Amino acid sequence: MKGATETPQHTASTLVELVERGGAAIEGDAPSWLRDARAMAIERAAAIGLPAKTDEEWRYTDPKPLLEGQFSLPRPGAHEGDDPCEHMEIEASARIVFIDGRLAPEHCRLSGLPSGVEVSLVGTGEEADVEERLAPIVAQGIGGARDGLEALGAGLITGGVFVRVDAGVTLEKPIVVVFRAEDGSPVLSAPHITLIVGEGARASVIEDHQGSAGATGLTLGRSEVRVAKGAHAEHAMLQREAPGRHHVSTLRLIQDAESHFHSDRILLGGAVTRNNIHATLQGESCEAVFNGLYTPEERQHHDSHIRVEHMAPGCNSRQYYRGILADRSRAVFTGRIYVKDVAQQTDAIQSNSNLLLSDAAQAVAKPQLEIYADDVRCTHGATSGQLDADAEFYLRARGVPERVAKLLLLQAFAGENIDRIENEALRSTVHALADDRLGAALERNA
Amino acid sequence: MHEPLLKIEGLCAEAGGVEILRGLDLQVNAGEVHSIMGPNGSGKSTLAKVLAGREGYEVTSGSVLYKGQDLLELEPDERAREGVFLAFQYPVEIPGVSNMQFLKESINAVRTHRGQEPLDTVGFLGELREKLAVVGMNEQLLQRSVNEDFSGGEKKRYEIVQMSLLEPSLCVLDETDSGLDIDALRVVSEGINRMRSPERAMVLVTHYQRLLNYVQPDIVHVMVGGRIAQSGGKELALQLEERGYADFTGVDDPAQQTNPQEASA
Ligand SMILES: Nc1ncnc2c1ncn2[C@@H]1O[C@H](COP(=O)(O)OP(=O)(O)OP(=O)(O)O)[C@@H](O)[C@H]1O
Ligand SMILES: [Mg+2]
Repeated sequence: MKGATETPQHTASTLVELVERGGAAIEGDAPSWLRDARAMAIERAAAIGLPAKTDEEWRYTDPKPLLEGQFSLPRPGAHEGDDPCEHMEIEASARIVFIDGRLAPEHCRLSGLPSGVEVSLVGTGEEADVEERLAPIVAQGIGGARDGLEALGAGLITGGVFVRVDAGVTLEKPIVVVFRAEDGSPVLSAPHITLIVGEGARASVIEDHQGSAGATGLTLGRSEVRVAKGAHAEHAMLQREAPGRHHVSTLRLIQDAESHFHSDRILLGGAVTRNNIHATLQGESCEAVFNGLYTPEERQHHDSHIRVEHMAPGCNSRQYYRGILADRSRAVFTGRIYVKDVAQQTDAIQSNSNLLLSDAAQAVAKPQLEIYADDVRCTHGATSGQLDADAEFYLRARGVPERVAKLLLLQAFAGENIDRIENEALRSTVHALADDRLGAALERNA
Repeated sequence: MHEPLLKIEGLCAEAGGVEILRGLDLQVNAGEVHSIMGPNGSGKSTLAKVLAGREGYEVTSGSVLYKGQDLLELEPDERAREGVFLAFQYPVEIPGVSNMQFLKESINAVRTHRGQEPLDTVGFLGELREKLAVVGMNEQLLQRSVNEDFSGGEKKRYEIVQMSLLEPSLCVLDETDSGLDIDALRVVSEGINRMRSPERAMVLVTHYQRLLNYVQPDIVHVMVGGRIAQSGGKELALQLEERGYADFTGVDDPAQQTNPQEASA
């Protein structure tokens, strides 16, 4: 591990400036493959352009705060000192902690992994041989990016984790990666997670993005998941960043035949949040579940953008996204189901429901179907409304105070998706966080 | 004589811009069982909802005194904690809220209001099992969400379970007998009869004489066009069964009306 050397070079700039300055812009002591990746990401961003509000895909989310905010890259070296993180009570097979974009080696636990499981750190200055396995994935991510922001997320990589589970190996407990932002300068961190699950293997990763109350800056995250034939993979993301920090993250998933994948994405924090999922069900008879909950409040903006591609016959996909919006918050849900002509017997469901706690809150739902096969079952439904007045009255007619009645109904609504979270510890953490948040939101939106 | 438990005078109420209750008078004393019968749409459920405080039903004039206090001033949950219970004509399904959670919140809100200790899980389960047994309800239903996928009859029985848990002073049962099979009707009636007491009053809204065979009312009212058209003893229900509401609909002859106060005297 290299010592923490403080260098003054990491002055703030905007992403627009970063892209204008070009590939050589990022200095530092990164290995050459990573410097190449960063340069490639910046070049690609310049070539395809950073998003603009006039882009159809950004119609309801103004990218300006993301592109024109002044952010500084993490200082080089490791984080030293106490562990300020809020940790879930979770049994993890490994735990990795990043603070302000820098690895916090003292707070990581990587020992005791079963054989056939590789967990390597990325972008921390000490990775040696992960390059040849990771570089092609990174290049693929940059090449496939649909806008410049996604390209930057795929290739900037300020730190991350590479996980590979060999064929037939089962990793019982999840690998937990915590990304924490502390008060101070507006750090741009680009965390990168790779999860490669071999044939018939089983593994899960949980990302926990958090921050102290005053943290600012931008998370530009990327999660690359590859699920080989017959494998089971789970990926969860808890986004509980500080309200002043922006969060953009993209889950890129490619599934081989007969594989199973489950995603949980819980958006609680952040100022402007963009949650991208790009899933390709490449082989036959895959199953994929995309479970999500967002609870924006005050002036938070939570945008989920999901694209599920059915490329082969007989796959199932499920998108379950729910939101509870308080105050003057906004939420966007764009879900596209794409079914290729050969993907017969596709069974795809997409459902999005929103509860609005205030007249000033606004939810936009844009379900999109793009189907080129004829023997498919694809359904989508979107609802948006207030709490059910009949249900509330029924509870109150039994003596339950108004606030409690409303909270029960909100918990029930959110609970449907929280209960779907695969990991039990994450599930109860989210239950507790949501209860607190919704209780407070009810106080304000009475 | 002490004050009536419930005293409604000249009650007018509307919903969705429609005037539904038009000068309704009703007085109910503790210990009494009243039955309200009347044609569809005459306003029986509206009366029940106004008493329970349903939003959207606006009282335009008249008064409702409950235990001497202005009932209309209270929030729906306050009314419930004060001992007003409405058994719903159509109990509401609430997906995601478990029956256990619901009943526990409910009973402990009421108990705390009465100055009683809240029940712990063991005490609560004990109480609940007993009440479920009375109406022959399977405990396993409690694993589900409130009223969710309950059959029509189960929903009605469940209303009686809630009523007996909360031990209200004024029970308004809106067609609790509708949709019950013959055995269930007997069981539910038994549940109601067990709750009869000198401190408690019941108002049974029903379309059928058969409930009144099991639960003998002290007073029967005929409601037509948003007011009480006639009140009498239980023989009035028999008369309605035979002759229908023809005597009352369209006719508004004050001479036919018996003053409810007199009838209950
Ligand atoms: N929220 C509402 N908005 C508009 N009209 C309403 C509303 N609620 C009830 N009404 C109308 O008021 C009238 C009385 O309805 P109510 O449900 O009180 O009748 P009811 O006597 O209980 O009838 P039933 O015997 O069929 O249960 C009906 O014509 C009904 O359509
Ligand atoms: Mg009715």
